Amino acid sequence: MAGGLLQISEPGAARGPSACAGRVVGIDLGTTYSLVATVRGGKPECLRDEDGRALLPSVVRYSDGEDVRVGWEARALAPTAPLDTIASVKRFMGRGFEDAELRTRAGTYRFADAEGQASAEFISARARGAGASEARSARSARAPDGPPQRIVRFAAGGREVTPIEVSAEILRVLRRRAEEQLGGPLDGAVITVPAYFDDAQRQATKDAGRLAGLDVLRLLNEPTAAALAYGLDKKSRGCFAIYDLGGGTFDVSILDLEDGVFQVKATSGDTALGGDDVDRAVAAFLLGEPSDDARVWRQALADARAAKERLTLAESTEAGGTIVTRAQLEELAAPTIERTKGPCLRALRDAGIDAAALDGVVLVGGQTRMPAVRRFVASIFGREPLADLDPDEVVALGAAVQADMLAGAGPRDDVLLLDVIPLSLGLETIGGVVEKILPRNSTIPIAARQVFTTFADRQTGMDVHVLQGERELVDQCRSLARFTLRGIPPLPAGMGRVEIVFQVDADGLLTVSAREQTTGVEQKIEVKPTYGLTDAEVERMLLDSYEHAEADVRERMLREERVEAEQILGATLLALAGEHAPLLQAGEREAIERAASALREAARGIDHAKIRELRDTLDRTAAPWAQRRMDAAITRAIAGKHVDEALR
Amino acid sequence: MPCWSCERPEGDGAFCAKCGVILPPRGGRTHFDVIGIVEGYHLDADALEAGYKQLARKLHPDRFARADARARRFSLEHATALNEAYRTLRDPVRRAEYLLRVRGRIELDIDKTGAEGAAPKVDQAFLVEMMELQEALGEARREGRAEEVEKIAADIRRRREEELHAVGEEFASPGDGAYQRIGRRLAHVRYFNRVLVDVTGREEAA
Repeated sequence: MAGGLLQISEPGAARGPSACAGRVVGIDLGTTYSLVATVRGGKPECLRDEDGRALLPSVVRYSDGEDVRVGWEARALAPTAPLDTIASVKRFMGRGFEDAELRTRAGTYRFADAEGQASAEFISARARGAGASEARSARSARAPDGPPQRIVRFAAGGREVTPIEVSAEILRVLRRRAEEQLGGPLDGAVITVPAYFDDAQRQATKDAGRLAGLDVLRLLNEPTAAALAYGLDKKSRGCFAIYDLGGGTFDVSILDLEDGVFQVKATSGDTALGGDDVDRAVAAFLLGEPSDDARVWRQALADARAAKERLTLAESTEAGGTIVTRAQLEELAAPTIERTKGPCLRALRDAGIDAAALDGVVLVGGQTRMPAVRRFVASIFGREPLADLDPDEVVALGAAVQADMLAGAGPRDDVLLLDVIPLSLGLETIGGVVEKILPRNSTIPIAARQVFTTFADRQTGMDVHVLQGERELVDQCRSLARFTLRGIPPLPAGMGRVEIVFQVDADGLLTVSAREQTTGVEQKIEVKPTYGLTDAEVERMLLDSYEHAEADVRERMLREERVEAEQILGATLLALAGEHAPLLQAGEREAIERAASALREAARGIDHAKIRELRDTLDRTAAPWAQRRMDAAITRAIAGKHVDEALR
Repeated sequence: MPCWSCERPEGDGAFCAKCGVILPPRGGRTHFDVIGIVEGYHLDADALEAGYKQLARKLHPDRFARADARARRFSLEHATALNEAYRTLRDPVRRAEYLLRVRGRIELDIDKTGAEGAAPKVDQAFLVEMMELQEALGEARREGRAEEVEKIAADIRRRREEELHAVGEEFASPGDGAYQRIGRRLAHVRYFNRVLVDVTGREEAA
């Protein structure tokens, strides 16, 4: 009988969206901005914040104590505390400290502040400290010749955080936004990743999702998501190129759409190329040269970004006291744009298709708003690109569509994505040469096996070194994992046979197992990417996040219960003062007032269970009266009409 | 065999004939069986595409995202086998190497050269020729003679097609020692591909 009072006294009051089966969302966890979208009424739409903005800047600011700010506020505050503000964290996902340091030295990377030397050194010192404690791990011990595997850590707001934790902060904000608007906890989320993300980067993204309390249904490649957003709207068929130039990553994919099957033919790109590079070029132009002062540089970057956005429509603009023309911007952006050409040609070649045979080119990513980018794309593919959907939103929209499909909610059960692995997977063989086991652009899920023979007499162990990349030599590829298979029976050289199986699941994540064949002895070893978190780290973070998650849940339930309590109290008060008061029986008013005042008292406290209990009590106490009011209302309604009419 | 879910006889498809749950993939099927097309080097490309897509639609893990853990595992196994079959069969070289393994019991993997069932050795003369070709290519590239690079590449492509054509003929009516000859031709194709990768690799970098 809950809500009986409300139904009568406020017939027009909606109680929010009803709990539907499967609250699922798609999340675009971007370098510059992140978005969350869901499918409502069969159409994907982005969820906006209270100010109507779909975009959430992927910026996290850590202050001393527990204070963590995410999004617009963090970005606005960035110049005041650049060292404590982490932007473009996506570039560090799944990356070891060595990668980050190399890139910073090359001047193409922005650390916690902006390319400040101080912070780079600071992080370097921290990372070394962390590495020492990990040196005891079996994994490091087994790879004395390989690079030490340490995760990047930022030092911000008096604490150390990994890129995974920073990303989880962003995801948490989006999760909360979605839960508030969808009216309850999420059942699952699809998170997008650049197609070019390697195994470690994917694993890191999945870890961030888990840390943020999300059930990650699937990691979806961004270009595929974009095609999904377009394909469903347009019911297209044919072969499409997706050109995705975002803040920090570039992706290009060739997709075949037919009978509801999206088949990725080829994908290529660069994980460290994007609009941020343009911003840096413009900022250096504004200052005359890149600045060592983090604050000055951060401000120049903000000016550059704003100027770039204005120049999409304007011919010239003022930024940081300097006049910039569109022609100047285009000149500064040219090297970045030019670098997208190679991957485009490679993708076409891998797909075995001529640009002329394409049916369309889709633009994704805020950077593709730039007229110069559009002209460049048109020149590579020989046609004007499509840009019907907002290039910032299209990936999130597609992810929402995919989430909806996975939740089995939509009528689109006939739509299917056939995705591929973006990089070849292989093993180290004699002479430091990589033997490819699974070539790039293989449709997933996929498995491949290769048999290796022993090369020495009485050899009982075999080193298995798993690599990712297109190059021939081990040190040119990314090392994913290394382990030793033991227990091979002592046999003459060439007689021991080890079968190595690579299995890539539908998320693009790899498992490697090794089996000794001659004796049938099987050893299965699951390989985790070496640049991900150690199990202990994941465990600690998950424990932390569960504690937080529980607090989050309690907070949310309390807020919900308070709202409900206020509604029922208001309605009760109204009804007691209204025309149905005479229907109250002896003692009923007093009982209801007692129950109402107890509920009011509880709503001031923080015990959500108590609030709920007292709300139920009030509901029960008022129920007989509500029933009589209902009867009276029906009697009155019928009274004015013929019976058959009233019942119709 | 009784179905794992309803325990009634399951039939012989990928799904239980009685209750419709996904079944574990059967062992011993060839890639041709998996996609449901006639075995042979020459195949109907449209039938391959259509068969693959139709099965992918039914068996892909996305269809079982919310299903029971066992159903999810079977779906992953089915989809993996399906993708492996499709990847192998749609490429003429992989298809030929696979058929050679199934029919001729010959493995082309260099790793096992000399072992039982390994590919026949390639002629010394052919190896020398390949090395010379690679050197000629390298020189032409270094000196920027793009036309000559393209001429050598076109010649290799033509010879590769000839070998594959001959492979097709041999598979269609295999005579005495056919599989040894096919093995040698396919080994040649591997060498041609290796040289071609060098060429296309350079194109990409340019």
